[in-house]
Amino acid sequence: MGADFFEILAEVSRENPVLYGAIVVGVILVEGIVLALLMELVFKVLGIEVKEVPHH
Amino acid sequence: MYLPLAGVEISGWLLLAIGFCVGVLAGFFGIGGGFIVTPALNIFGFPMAYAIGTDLSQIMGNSIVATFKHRKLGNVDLRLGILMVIGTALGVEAGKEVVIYLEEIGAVGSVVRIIYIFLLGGTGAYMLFDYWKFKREEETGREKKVVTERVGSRLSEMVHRINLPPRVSLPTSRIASISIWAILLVGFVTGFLAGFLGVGGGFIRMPAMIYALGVPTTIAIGTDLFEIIFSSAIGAFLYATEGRVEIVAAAVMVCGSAIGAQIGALGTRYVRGMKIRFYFALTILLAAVSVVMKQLAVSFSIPALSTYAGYLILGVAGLMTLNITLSTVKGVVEERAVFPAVKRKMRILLASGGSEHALRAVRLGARIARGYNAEVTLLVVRDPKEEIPVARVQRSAGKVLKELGVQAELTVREGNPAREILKAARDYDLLVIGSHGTKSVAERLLGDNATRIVENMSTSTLVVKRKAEVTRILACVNLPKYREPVVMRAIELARILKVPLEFLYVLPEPLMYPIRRLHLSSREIMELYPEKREAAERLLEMARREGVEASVKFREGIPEEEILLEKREIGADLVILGDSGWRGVMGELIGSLSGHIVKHSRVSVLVVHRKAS
Repeated sequence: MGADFFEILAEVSRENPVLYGAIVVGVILVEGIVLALLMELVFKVLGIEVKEVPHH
Repeated sequence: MYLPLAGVEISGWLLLAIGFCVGVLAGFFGIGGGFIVTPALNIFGFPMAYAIGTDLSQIMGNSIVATFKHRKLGNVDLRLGILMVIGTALGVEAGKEVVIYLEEIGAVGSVVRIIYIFLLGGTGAYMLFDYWKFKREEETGREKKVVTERVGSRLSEMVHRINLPPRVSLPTSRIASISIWAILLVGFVTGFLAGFLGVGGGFIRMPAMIYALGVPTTIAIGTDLFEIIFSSAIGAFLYATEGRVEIVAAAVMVCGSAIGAQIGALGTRYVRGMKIRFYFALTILLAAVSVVMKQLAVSFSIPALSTYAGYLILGVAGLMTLNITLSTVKGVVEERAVFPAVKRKMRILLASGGSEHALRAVRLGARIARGYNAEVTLLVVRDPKEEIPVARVQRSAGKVLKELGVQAELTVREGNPAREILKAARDYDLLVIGSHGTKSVAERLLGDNATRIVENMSTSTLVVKRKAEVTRILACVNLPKYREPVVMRAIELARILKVPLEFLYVLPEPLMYPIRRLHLSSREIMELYPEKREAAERLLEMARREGVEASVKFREGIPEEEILLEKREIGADLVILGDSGWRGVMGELIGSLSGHIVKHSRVSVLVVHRKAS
């Protein structure tokens, strides 16, 4: 199934490059935001509090 | 997994590991990491165009995660970032045009590579030299203060002097005023180089922000990452439309880099700004060596040299990742030891008799309680000898508490005030009392109620004197045994009251000093005792992490005198020190440092009890 999915993506990139470009940017953007929020939650659970730091 | 677009079979774990490494480096240095991932993917079988395209997509995701983290750390200057994006975009376009021209005349390959080598090598060498110069100045004592980094350079001073309107202030970057054109120009130049070399440009922009604009290292890192989101998104889109992005490989690497970016960004809290520059310089210098190897591989047709260049860059990335991860873990563990997670709410006892100074104590105590989100009890002690109307005390103190939005429980006791306050305070973490100072001769000799309470206290006690406002804190960190709780409380209070903090070490004057005192300055003391300088740097780091502006001073002499002198010199209105007092017979005979300071200080004094640790 994984291999099929990869093939579909390859097909999209060949058939409609602009759509593939949009998919790449969209997927990575959403993934980045979700992971950033998830990581924040994980750090909160671990109790590693992040505070703003003054810059001297 | 098999990736049909690039026609490559690669392990998902390997992609995760590469992502993790580049995430750590990106979070720590504020770079996209293209100069690491592209050769890595290439070594593991990706054709070059696919390696670049996939890398750009990975950089985009990685930068989003790292920017989130840096934003939380207060390291992203959005105003500067947006202006830089505009300048960079124009610069990239110009750089691309020059490349196209060079392509037409057939000179692009070698010109780009040679400039790349000089740029990487030059930047790395300059930063290394700057770090070495800083270290030397520190060692020879020319650096007057204990600092974690030096911000600004001659170039940045020149850039700040460009007087072309409109000007903009960048408070996050601590730049009072700078011409917009100067920012656009720096953005344009770095963008031009990025476009010309065909790279993200993080390794150029980060040092450019530090040296040309005078931005602190950590802000330069965060702001650079913010910019990389845009540049890499455009790159990823363009490469994807050419079918040169393996989206699954990029998505897997982003997962690894998301974890790595947290560690890298967190690492900027625990590694000094100048040290970050040193690591960065080392990394890009070795990257320059790897590019030289690649150039030699092409010039002399030795393909093996190109592979070794790839391994070199991978080795550097791996070692640097390990170093940063270990520094971060060490920092978190040390921080946990000093600031353990608070399991229960802090309990504060505000003792009030309704007088002016008692109300000042309630006011300052309430501000502190609000900062700690503490449970507050208002204690009124009815002295049988004096008639204190409890309702009036409750009303006046209640008004102050209401004004500050603090809720408190009321407790009324009857008896000798000092004794009753001491008894009630046993169950609390902090006792706040007011003091009118020593007025009568008897009080001057024996001390007032506040002195008696401090000399017999069983919990940390804050004696509020002439004013409830605090503008500067002086924390005395002399006694090693009590240093930790004093440091902890001082940093916490400076954070809550949003005021600067000075740590003071007094080196006790030896009894048998030859003829006279040596009158050593802070700098000379630090030169004589390197361990004291290290301790001072640690204190500054701890304060910085908690968002507190701090400095460290050394004095020599009799602690009682030096503390009071320093307090006057810097205009501190809150002195914090540890409870070093002797109890019982010894206490009666020789008194205590804390009792002495409380008796003779005209400003508020917090005496931190041992149990506060």
